[in-house]
Amino acid sequence: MSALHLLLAAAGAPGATGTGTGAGTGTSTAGDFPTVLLSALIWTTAATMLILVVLPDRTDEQRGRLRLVALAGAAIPLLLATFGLNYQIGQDFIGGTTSFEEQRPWLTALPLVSNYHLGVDGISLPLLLLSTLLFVIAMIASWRVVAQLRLYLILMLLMETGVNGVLCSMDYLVLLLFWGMQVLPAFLLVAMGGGAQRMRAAWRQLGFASVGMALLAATALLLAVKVNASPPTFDFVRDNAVSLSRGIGSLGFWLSFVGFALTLPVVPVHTWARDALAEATTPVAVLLRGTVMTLGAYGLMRVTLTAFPDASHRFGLVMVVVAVITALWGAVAALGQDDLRRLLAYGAVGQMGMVLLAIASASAIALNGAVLMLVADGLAGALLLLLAGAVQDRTRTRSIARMGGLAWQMPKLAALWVLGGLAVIGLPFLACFVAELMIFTGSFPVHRAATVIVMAGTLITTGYVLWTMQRVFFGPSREAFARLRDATTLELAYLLPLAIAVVILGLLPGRVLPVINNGVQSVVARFTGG
Amino acid sequence: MHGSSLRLAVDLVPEGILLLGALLLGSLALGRAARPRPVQLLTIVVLLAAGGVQLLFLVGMPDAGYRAYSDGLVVDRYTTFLVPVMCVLALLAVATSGPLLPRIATHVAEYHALVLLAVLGGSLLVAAREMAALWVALELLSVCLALLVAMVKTDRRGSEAAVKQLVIGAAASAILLYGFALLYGAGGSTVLVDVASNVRHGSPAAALGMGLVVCALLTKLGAVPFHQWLPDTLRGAPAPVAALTLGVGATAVAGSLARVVVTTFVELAASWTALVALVAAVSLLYGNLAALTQVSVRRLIGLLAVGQSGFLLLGLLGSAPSQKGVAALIFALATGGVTVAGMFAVLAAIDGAVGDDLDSLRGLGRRSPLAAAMLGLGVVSLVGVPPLIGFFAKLFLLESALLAGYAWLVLLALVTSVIGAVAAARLLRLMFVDLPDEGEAPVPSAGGAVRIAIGFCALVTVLLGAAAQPLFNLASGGAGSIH
Repeated sequence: MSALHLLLAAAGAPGATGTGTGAGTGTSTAGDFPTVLLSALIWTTAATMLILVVLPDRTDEQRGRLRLVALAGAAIPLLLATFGLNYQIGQDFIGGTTSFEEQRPWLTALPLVSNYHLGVDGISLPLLLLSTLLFVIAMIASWRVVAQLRLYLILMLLMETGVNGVLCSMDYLVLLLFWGMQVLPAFLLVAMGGGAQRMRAAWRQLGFASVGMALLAATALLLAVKVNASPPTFDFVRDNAVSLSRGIGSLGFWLSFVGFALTLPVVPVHTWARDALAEATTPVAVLLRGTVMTLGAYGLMRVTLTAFPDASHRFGLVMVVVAVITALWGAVAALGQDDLRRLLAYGAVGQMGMVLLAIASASAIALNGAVLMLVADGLAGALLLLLAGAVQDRTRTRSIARMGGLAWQMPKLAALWVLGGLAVIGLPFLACFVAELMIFTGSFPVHRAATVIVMAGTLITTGYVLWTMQRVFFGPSREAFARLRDATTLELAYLLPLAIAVVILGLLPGRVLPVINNGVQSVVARFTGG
Repeated sequence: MHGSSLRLAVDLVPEGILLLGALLLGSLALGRAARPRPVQLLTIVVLLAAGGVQLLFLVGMPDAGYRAYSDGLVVDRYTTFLVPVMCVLALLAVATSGPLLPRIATHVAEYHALVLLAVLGGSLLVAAREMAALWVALELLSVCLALLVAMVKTDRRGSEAAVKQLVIGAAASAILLYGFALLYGAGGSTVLVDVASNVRHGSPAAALGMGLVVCALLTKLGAVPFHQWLPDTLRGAPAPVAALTLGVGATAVAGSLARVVVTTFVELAASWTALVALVAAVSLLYGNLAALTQVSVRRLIGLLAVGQSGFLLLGLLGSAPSQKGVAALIFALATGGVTVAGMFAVLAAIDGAVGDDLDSLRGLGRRSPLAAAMLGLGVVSLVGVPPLIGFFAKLFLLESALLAGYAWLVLLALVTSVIGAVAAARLLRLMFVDLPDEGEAPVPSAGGAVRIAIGFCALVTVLLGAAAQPLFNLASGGAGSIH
């Protein structure tokens, strides 16, 4: 790690002059730290994209080179994010909750001021690690893609730039810029490959995403104009809660809540996720589930709760009701699916209901659990989706009824599926256990009935996960599947890291929880203080 | 400040350069058919010289600018921002005319002369503050553009579009004259500033005159419900001319509209803001909704441009100095013009190989990646997806309208942007997701000049957002000088 530190210091030296100390609460944790870390993390993928544009892609050899370059471009942000989180674990956030902060004046002469202001805290760092990891995994899982390979890789890298950028933004306008950067690539990636209904899924997703985008733009403009800062600014760093009137607060809450809930997604606007997760190719589905949906939850915490605490408190019940419906609907609908991919999609929606419950309760413990849940569920869900893709490739069907006994032919895949399934249902010592526990203990004092109902929903989740496991992998061996092969080396190359991550996160959540807690505390302070 | 004749001559040097260039090219046209390459080069040199000299004026310019011709023409920072912009846009159109020139082989010199005259008309138009000067400049611009539309004599659609443009344009000119007549009657002067001070308390005649003038200029801009000519022109005209219409034409007319409104009508804002807000709302709705069902590429771009003109009007609504609406407006004109020029450069390059219906673009991403990339970036930027330059243009306009209190219009603009995004996504899907039809001829690669132009426009569209501030400062300085 020290070598990396030196490397960063060297890279950061010329850029370090422009670093600013934040105007408000957040300042850099250490003055001597290279503060171009986040810019490097975000823009590496964009730079890689530009390299891909000029590389040829005619022969197999050239395509192999393209893949390697893209993978390297995606791996660097992962290293940087790992390093950032690791550094943070060793720190106590002296002097503020935000770290690696970068602030440069950008649009200053306008009626509304916007700064190129980046920074991460305990909420965004773990999610950043998740997103960078998933992009590397998706890149490896796409190794066999040949058709329009260059465009495919470029879109993935562009999407990664957008997702990472959103997680690092400390300015509404910058956030909006990065948010927009991932919308169209996601649309094209869904449309480019996958099931027969993929165009429908892509259009539906784009429709929801564009509406969400417009609502976010409206939220950002509202905040900038209506908060009495001088000059009016898009920057996060100011006390929004003080100067918003009741009506404006409510309006802002609804704009941002609906915008992010569309992305999360919640029932009844979950149809895009159901279709897109089922129809897209598995790597793309992994990205949608693990990064795009995560951004919805992140936005709810970062914008809705933080900027409109009063209104979030007032309309907390609405969020709770939506959360309960989403959690139950997702679990029950998953129970009824015959399509393996749709089952996983509904499962993902159900899990997001749990996260929303935690957000609605806005208690520190529950929010800690929610962040942990996003990471854990992102990893376990990705594992299951990729396994489902592998099974689908072999059996040439997505229908669960036509599978069965696959563990005879593919014991490795079956073992991994068991691991992922057990993680999702919250078995102790696997990723989601601590997260679920924290969500429920945190929400129960605030919304007792809702918490109990959602807990009942997890029983249904347990039911469908185990039942699916039984129907797909166990039972008598089938003649039709006799020639199917177990996991290839390539598949293990992207499945095993995920499995290991699921186990590690389950064993050592205590390592990251202090970091998460530090970020959560600032949200909660805004909420209870306002 | 009333200049001597020497001062006047100096102030109008860029216009003089344009005129001389046009005359030179016109005289070339009298001889045998000119060779395209030298003519093109001469035109580019003239445009660069005119734009460059205009920029030199910025050095030591007084806040009120230089006034020529009894205050009728003003060379201030506003003019000095817009004239180089128009020169660049015309330059892009000229650089992408290569594929067109063989079809008008006998009129190459005339074509370029007309382009220069159109720019001349445009630059006089944005400088004009007096009724007669404004009208003459506007006519020069419109007539040159109409002639350019009909340049390819064998193309029936071009001739039809030109006739339509001329007829509607003539009606607009007549309305403009009515408006001016009423204003003159009410204000007793042809200089707009004097009119403003004389009709301060308003009269029905002045209000009507004002409405007519605004309507006439909106017609020339192509805002709904005065837009009928625009999509047809874009479809019928050769691609570089279409770029010129949307670039130089829209920049000059919108620039002039902003100047007229701000200098003359600010005192009577209540009587025209409602009209402008309504037109903006209708343009936004119509442009983006109609774009959803278009099957012609150029009409699609045209309708998105109509929607864009609705956006531009937001800047007029927020035209108070603190709201920076006019700065946002000319910023949007400059950046949007470059993006549109890039898109039409692509259409010029692929003109022979690809038809005008959207289906013929199927799989263009594989047949011609550079062309498809620019076209895709262009529509996405026009719709206003971040982080492309179109987003910043729209953001500044939205900010100004919001500060002026038009929240409903801002919401409408956001909603229509979503609709526009769906239209843009349709184009993206055709180009990048769908496979090319069997047996489609490969798209021939464009000439060097066209490729450089496309590359320039693509770079501006993608990267200028990072440097939005300096450009906006320039625009802001320009807008500040007309208040």
